[in-house]
Amino acid sequence: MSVFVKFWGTRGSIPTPGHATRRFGGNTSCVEVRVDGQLFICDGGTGLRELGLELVARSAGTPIEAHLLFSHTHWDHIQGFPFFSPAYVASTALYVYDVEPHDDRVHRLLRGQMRHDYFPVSFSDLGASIHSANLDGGSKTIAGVRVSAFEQRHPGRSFAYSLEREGKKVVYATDNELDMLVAAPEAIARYPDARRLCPPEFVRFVAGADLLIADGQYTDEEYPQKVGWGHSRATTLVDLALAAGVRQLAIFHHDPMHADDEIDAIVMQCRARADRFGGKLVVFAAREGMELRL
Amino acid sequence: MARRVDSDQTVIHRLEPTSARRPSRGGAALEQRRGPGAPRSFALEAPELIVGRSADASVCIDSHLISRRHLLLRRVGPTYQALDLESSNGLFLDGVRIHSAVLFDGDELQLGDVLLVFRETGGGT
Ligand SMILES: [Zn+2]
Ligand SMILES: [Zn+2]
Repeated sequence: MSVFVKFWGTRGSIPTPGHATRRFGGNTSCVEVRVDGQLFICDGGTGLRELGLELVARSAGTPIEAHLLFSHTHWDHIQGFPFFSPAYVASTALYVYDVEPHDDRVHRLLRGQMRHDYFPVSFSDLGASIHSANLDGGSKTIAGVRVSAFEQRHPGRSFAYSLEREGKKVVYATDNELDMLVAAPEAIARYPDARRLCPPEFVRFVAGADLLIADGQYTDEEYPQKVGWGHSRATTLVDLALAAGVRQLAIFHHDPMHADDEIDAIVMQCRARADRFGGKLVVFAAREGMELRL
Repeated sequence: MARRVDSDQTVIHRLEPTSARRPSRGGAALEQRRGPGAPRSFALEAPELIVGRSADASVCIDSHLISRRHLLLRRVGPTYQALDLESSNGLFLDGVRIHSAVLFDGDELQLGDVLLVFRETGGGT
């Protein structure tokens, strides 16, 4: 069995082209997960455009089929969709997932962002078959891959997804204010070095992941000014990953204000924290163009 | 083909802070910091190069901990992409096992006992 994960967009909130962000990248959220050739796409931020170009090149004319899992529909997670070239190809089949049966909110909002006021091509003119699908309220096996959703803390709400097959597990959990869910958040704000207890249901959801890709937008210093904005401190992810026995943690949804060297500093801080708690955890910052094989 | 340059002049460099990383102007090199033959440096010129133990690898490193064809470097725009060629011991970028990645100045690649640092040299080719 093979599981490949490739980062096409790692930035949060808004694209950040420019020299200061070239190493971790400026495109917004988009992660490709390939499980035995089955293609899953987590979020359709601006990184989706380049993934689309690559898919067309890779496919060499054979039909493209992809399962699209959106954490939520804030701009930075859907903006690449109108530029996703496979959507313009008649032989392509795309499945756009909501969690609940009979819900087509994500599909509807993808259509909505292509209204004439926003974009010159309308959704109905896309050549591909674009189906609204769902996860049976929380969990479903899609092409042999168990896909599960978990509702997170974010303005307007968002979902984390886990993808599992034959003992391999990837969790994609972006746009989540974990720091609002930890036990005794006020005490933790005063004692940032103390270990943070994450909600047990979420720890179970993440448990044993070979790779956890998670929103770690803020530093400990920045967070007090950003409470309620819907994003976590990177250091809190370390505590989550250690509690859940995760092997590798990819810090994701980089703050648009963070240059590459600031993201390096966040990684160093997180690695030091993992060491201090005696955990065997690989911590890194997701970077555009990086591909892992699990 | 890679051209070996200043093989007897390379010294062990201090790890530079990112702000000291140089912008790309097209040229690239690999500095070998650890492993058999280090320290030495290879200029990267061809669109594709193989790093491995095999005598016909573009960058040949005689270590039993690396595979015969271990790493492919492929030019993408002004820089290179590193791709693990299903090596036995894996390819690590800054401590993380990767399948592939686009490289930037200062990136450290570990292959077995070999440590390579990617450099954007600014000498356009
Ligand atoms: Zn976001
Ligand atoms: Zn959001």
